[in-house]
Amino acid sequence: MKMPRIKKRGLSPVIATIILSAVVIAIGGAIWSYSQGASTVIANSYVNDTLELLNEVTERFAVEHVSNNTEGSILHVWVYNYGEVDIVIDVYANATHFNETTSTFNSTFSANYTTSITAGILVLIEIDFSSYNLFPSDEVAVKVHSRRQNNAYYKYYVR
Amino acid sequence: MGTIIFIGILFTSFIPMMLVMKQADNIYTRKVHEIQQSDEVQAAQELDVFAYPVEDEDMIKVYVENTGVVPATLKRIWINDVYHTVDEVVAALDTSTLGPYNVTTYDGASFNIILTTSHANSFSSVSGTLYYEASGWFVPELGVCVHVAVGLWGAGYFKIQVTNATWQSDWYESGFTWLGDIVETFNVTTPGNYQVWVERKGWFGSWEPLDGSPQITSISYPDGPPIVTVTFGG
Repeated sequence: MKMPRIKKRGLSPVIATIILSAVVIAIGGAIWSYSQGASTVIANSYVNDTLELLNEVTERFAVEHVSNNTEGSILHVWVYNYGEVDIVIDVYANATHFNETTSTFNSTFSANYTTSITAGILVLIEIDFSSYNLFPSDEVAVKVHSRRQNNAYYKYYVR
Repeated sequence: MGTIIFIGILFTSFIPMMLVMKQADNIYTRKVHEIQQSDEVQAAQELDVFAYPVEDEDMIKVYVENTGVVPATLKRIWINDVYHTVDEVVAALDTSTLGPYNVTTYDGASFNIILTTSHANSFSSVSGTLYYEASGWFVPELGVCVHVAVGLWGAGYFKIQVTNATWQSDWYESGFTWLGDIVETFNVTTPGNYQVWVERKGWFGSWEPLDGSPQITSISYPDGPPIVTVTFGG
C-alpha cells in the first residue's frame, strides 16, 4: 500500500533574512535608545556634580567687620562675598565673658543666624544678644559657615 | 546590521557623552585656575594706608600707596563702624588720596581707619588711631629714622646727622660697632627734604663720609608716612 506523500517545505531565505533583520533592528534599536537615554543622564549628572564642586571650590567670603550696639544687645557682623557665586551661610557667635575678680573666662553665650549673600555684596547681619548683653572686653568668636562647607572666622573684643 | 547599530551607538551616545564630560572638566580646570590666580593676587596685595585729619575741619583724608606688584581695587573705607564706599583702582607702586570724609568730632573722640579691597584684604592705617580733643586733632611726630647696617669689613665708630636748609640736628655718635645695626631716629618739626650724613672714623682717627652719604630723603606727611627710613651699608 502506498503511503500518501507529505509535502515539507522550509522558509525561503528571503523571508528568513527579513525576520532576522527585523529582530536585529528591534533589539538594536532598543539598545540604541536605552544607551542614548543613559548617556544623557550620566552626562547631565557628571556636569551637575562638576559644577557643584566648582562652586564649592570657588566660593569666597570673609568677615570684614564686627561691632556691637551701645547696649550690647546686638552684634553687627559684616560678611563680604567676594567670590563669583551666591552663598548661603550660617553665622555663629560665641561670647565669652572675662571675670576680672577670678581672672577666668566664664559665662558664655551663643547665637546664630542664617542668610544668603549675592556674589560681590557686603551684607550686615545683626545677631540678637539681648538675652545676654555683651560687656566691654568680652571676647566674641564669630564663625561663618557656608552650606558648601567653607568657613571664615573672626575674633572680636567688645568695645 | 549589528555593526552599524554599534557604530551608531558609539557616535550618537558614547562620544557625545564623553565630549560633554570633557567640556565640564575644561570649565572646571579653567575656573580653578582663575580662582588660584585671584588668590595669588590677594596674597600679593600690599598697601600702605595713612589716614590724617584735615586741619581745623571735621574731616579725614586717606592716603594710599600701593607698595605691592599687583593693582588693588579699593572697595571701602571704614571709619570706626561706618564705611564709605570707594571704587578706585590703584596700580602697582602708584598712590591715591581718598576723601575727605566727614566725621563727628567731640572731646575724646577716636577714629580707627581701615581700608578694604575687592579681594577682601583689610589694611589698617599705619598712622594709627586718630584722636580729637577739644583743642583739636592730635598729629604725629615727624622724624627721620636712620639705619646703618655694619658688615664684616665696615667695623668702626659712626656718627650721624640730619640737616635741611635751615636746621641741623646734633651729631649722634655710636660706640664701636661690628656686624650689627645702628638705628637712630631724629625728630624733625616740618615736612620737606632732609639730608642724612653718616661718617665713620677711619684708621687714622679722621671721620670720613660713608659710601652714599649724604642721602636725601623727603617727608611728605600727611601725603606720606610721618617717619621715613634711610638705610646705609656700613
